[in-house]
This record gives sequence, C-alpha cells and structure tokens, in this order.
Amino acid sequence: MGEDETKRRFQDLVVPEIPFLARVARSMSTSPAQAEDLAQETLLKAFRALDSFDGRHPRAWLARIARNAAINRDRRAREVPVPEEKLQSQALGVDDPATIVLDAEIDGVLRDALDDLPPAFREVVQLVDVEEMRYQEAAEALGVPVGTVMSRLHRARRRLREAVRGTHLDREARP
Amino acid sequence: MSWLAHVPGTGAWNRRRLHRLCRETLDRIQELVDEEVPSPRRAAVLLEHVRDCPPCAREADAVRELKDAIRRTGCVDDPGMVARLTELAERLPDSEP
Repeated sequence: MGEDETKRRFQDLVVPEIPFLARVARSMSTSPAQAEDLAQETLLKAFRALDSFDGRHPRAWLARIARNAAINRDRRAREVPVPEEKLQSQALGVDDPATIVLDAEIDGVLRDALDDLPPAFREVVQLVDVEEMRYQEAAEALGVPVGTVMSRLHRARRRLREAVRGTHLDREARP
Repeated sequence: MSWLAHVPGTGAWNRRRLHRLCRETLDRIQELVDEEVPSPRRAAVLLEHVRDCPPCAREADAVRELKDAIRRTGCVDDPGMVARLTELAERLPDSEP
C-alpha cells in the first residue's frame, strides 16, 4: 500500500473514531492521563497496522488494539486498577428542571459506580451500552466469547442497579 | 400441579404457560432489551408477553432506563484529549517512517 493510500485510509477510518477511542481508553484506564497514553499508543499501533486491516468495523478494530495495549500496560505495571479521578461532568441535554436535578443525581451515582466496576465489566458496559456495539462486535473487540460479554454485562448491570437503589432510577423507590 | 395444567385451553394450562413465559422473559430480559435474542420469532413472543405482563414490563423498563442512564453518563467526551489526539493523528503520517 502506498504512503498516500495509507494516509487516506487513516484519515477515513481512524480519525473519525478518535472521540470513540478516547472514551474507550478512559473505560480501560484508571485516570485521564493513563487513558490519554493508551489512546496515543493505540493510534500509533493502528497507523502501523493499517496495511493489514480490512477496513471493516473500525471501532471493533481500534477497541481490540486498545484492549491489548491496556493488557500489556497493566501487566507491565502490575496495577490494581482503582479509579484515581472521576470523569468530568457533562451537559445533560434535557429541559425540565426536575429531570435535570434527578438525572444529575443519578449520573453522579452512576459515574462513581461505573468507575468502581472491575475493568473487565466496565469495558463491556462501555462498548455495549455506551457505544452501542452488538454482543458479537464487543466480543471480537475484547477477544472473549459472546457468552462472556453477556455474563459480564449482566453482572455489571446488576452492580449498577444496586448502586442506584434509592435514587429516582430505582423504580421500587418511586412514590 | 393439576393434570389440567397439561390440557391446552384450560385455565391451569394458561397459568402454567404464563408462568413459564415470565420465567423465560426474566431470564432473557437483557437480551430482549439489547435486541439480541437470537431468534426473531422468540423475541416477538417474549415482547408480546412483556406488553401484556405488568411485572415483566416493569423489569424491562428498569433495564431500559438503566441502559439509557449508563449511555448518558458514559458518553463523556473530553474535548481537550480529543483535540490532542486529533493533532497527533495529523502528525503521525509524516513522522512515521
């Protein structure tokens, strides 16, 4: 593949997915700084491996590269991934003030609960619930069977439901 | 269980069928909400059951609401990081041998 072709494919396939890569790297890391290092490493590896990429499912491909890089990073550092910093807040995009307050409460609780999930659970939740990947895509991205994706997702959601117990999101707690 | 529960059309049969459908729906609620039930025909049966069964409908709504909240919470872009990565991506083709 020529240099120009590689550049074009990188621009077409990888660059549009940079926000996705940043979010996924964050879900695989314990701090924003660690996430940025991971995303940078992933970009570099993606560029170098572009010739062997068939162009299908760039998100799953990038997530797989990031996942492998994260495994190597954690192996090197022998880290116990405990969140150091919380994700930044974001605009909620809803108009009703009561909903804003309730959603903000839930988002805060959920954000903490997401950060507290074991990394293997957090990655699956990020790929399936946030990035809306199919089970099969997430399984390929993470290099695990579909059944593992389903069980991790189930267990992660159960933990998250426990975390929001008593908030507006807990249907049993509603008046 | 009464032998009537095995005779189609009887009240006991209907109750038994409903109980089994509830159990299957709750077992597969995640796949149902994620639209990942492998068989479309089975998915249609379970969805129809969810429409008619308040407890199953409540459970499906709870999973759906949690999923929505996770999406809202997890879809956080860090504009600074995205900008720096974009800048790196622009430099990469020229800096890589």
